[in-house]
Amino acid sequence: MIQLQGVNKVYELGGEKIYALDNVSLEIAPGEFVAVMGPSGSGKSTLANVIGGLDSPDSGQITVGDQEITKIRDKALSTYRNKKVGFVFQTFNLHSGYTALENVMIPLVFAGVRLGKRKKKAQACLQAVGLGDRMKHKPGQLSGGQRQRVSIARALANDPEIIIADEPTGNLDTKKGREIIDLLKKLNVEQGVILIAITHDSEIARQAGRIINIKDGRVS
Amino acid sequence: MHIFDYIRTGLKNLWRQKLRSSLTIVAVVIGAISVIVMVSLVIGAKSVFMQQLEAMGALTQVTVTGSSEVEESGSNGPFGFMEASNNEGEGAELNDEVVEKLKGISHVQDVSPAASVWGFQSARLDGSDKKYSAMLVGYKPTPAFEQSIIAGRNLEPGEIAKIVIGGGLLDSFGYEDNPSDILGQKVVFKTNKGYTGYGVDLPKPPAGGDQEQYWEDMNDKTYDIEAEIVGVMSPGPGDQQNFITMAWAKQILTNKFWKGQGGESGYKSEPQYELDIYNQIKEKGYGSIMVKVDSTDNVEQVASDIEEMDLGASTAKDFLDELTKLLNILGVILGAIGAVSLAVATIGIVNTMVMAIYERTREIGVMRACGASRGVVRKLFTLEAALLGLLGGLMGVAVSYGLATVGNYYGNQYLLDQGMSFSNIISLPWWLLLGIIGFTTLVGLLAGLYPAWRASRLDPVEALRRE
Ligand SMILES: Nc1ncnc2c1ncn2[C@@H]1O[C@H](COP(=O)(O)OP(=O)(O)OP(=O)(O)O)[C@@H](O)[C@H]1O
Ligand SMILES: [Mg+2]
Repeated sequence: MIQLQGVNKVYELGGEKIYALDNVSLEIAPGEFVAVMGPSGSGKSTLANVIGGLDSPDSGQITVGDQEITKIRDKALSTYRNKKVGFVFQTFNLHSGYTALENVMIPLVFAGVRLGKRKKKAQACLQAVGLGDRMKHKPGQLSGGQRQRVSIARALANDPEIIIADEPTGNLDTKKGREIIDLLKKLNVEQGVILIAITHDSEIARQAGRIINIKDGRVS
Repeated sequence: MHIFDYIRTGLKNLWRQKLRSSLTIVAVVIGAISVIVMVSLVIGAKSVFMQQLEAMGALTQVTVTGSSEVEESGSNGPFGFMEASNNEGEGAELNDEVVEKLKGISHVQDVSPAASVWGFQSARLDGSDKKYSAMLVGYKPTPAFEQSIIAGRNLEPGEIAKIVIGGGLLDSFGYEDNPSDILGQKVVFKTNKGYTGYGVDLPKPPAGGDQEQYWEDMNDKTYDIEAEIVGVMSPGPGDQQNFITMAWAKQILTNKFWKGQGGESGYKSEPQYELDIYNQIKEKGYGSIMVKVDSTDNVEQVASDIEEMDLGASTAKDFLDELTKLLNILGVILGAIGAVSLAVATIGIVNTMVMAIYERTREIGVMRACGASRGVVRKLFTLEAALLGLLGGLMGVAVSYGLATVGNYYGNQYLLDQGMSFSNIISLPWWLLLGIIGFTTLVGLLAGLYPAWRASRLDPVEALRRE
């Protein structure tokens, strides 16, 4: 259960105030799949980031489960990101020097999981995204779709409650994009993970249980 | 996150930037080597001197000179006793009475007078024509004053026409590689003109006749004095000296002359000549007196007791103090050079880390998104910098160790060629090596603090947006 209450994020540029988030209040139920849509610069990423604990709002409350993440400090917030949230980015953000397996192990390292267990868990995650045969490959040796699967596996590593996907198909062709969405949706359905997907593609948005429209930082 | 994972991640990141990391490490290695070389040189030099002094027995010896005012204490160094001072008349006379008095001082083991033997113009090996100059010192060769010997034996008190030669003469005679072969051979000293000491059978001046011719002949005459080599001293500082017994030195330094008696004008009788002697030592005293003290701890006390007797006393400590001062200055200068190179290495580490953080901004964003706190990011980069220092220190120690081994190998060979017995001039004590590794690691860690702090303050959202 995610609750936002009067969340604001304001940027001041040359005396002009830009509301990335303008008094946003909303709720997302456990196991929900919501699509976030809106024009460029409307505050979609900002919304996703404050929910994911990567960014902090200027005011307002965000509660995830029984934790008010707008009140906790960096260390606890980092633990929240590590254990409860999985990020999937448009540009994959994989570590180019690491193999797929090593990339998936990153959140497990920060979680303090021991090497042996870490490897097993990462292998399981890669298998879950259909990359059981690409574990030793580095991102440069994988296709775009495969790379995004690796990043999904990484997001899954610590069995999160929320997956935040910021335009996960933005860098993929339609067919590959569809596959990624299908994969994410499958995780949402089978594992009950909250899926928050930012997208410009109404075809994808239609698959979501709910669409959150945002414009100039305001949720309508 | 476990410490092992920090290290693994740090090493992985350094490995990813092999060239840059190794260049940075090279700077640390150079810094570490220079500090190690500097410190070990100072330590090594000190221990070599100590070994030498110990071997010579100089550390438990006090050299007594005529008067405390005459000679500045310590100016002769620990080897002063060998350059038996030739001060004539000045200060208190060093005679047997003084020797006896010195024997009475507590902690004094033994006392031996020493006298430089002048009067010879050259020395050659019997059977050869090559002449060399040789310094000759007479002393009392009791067990307390035993010299360290590489061949043969020490002198026995009272031995006449026997000599223990030093490394200088050994080299000159060409026996430096086989010192034992020179034993039993004879050194032939050529006396100055007009010498009338040991070995001279002074003819009686002719009764009447050409007395002038007689004196002229006498004044022009030189003699050859032979001395059998019974021992060869260990080489080292002061090996220009050659030793004979005080008994023989006294004989050499005793001039004979015919003294005219009677010959009163009233009688027509010839003047009566009587052989008289002039004992230089008896008249002028010994050049110096060596005092052997029972232990190094008491040397100071004995020296001050001697000075209270209005005599000059110099000990190896004076020399050692000078040496220590010199070595400390050297250490500071060399240490400063090492510090500068380590400072350069530190700047290198800071630079490397700042560059790494700039390049890896996006990666830092990913780490943060994956659950790394600011603290974790800070620790990761600090550790990476510390690893640069650690690796540099380890390699610096390894290279220094190699250099020292090679250096000692050649150094030992050189010293062996010189006939010196001590070995391993370059000493690398474990505390120095461990200290250097610890120090470079600390330097790396400190150099990493600021870049790591900057890395931890990066805004994750902006870091992820970075191209
Ligand atoms: N660091 C910043 N400084 C100033 N303004 C910012 C900053 N970050 C975001 N903004 C502004 O906040 C608003 C929302 O940005 P956000 O990235 O959330 O938009 P978005 O909806 O994700 O856009 P897009 O679809 O292009 O990704 C934008 O107008 C943007 O210019
Ligand atoms: Mg966006």
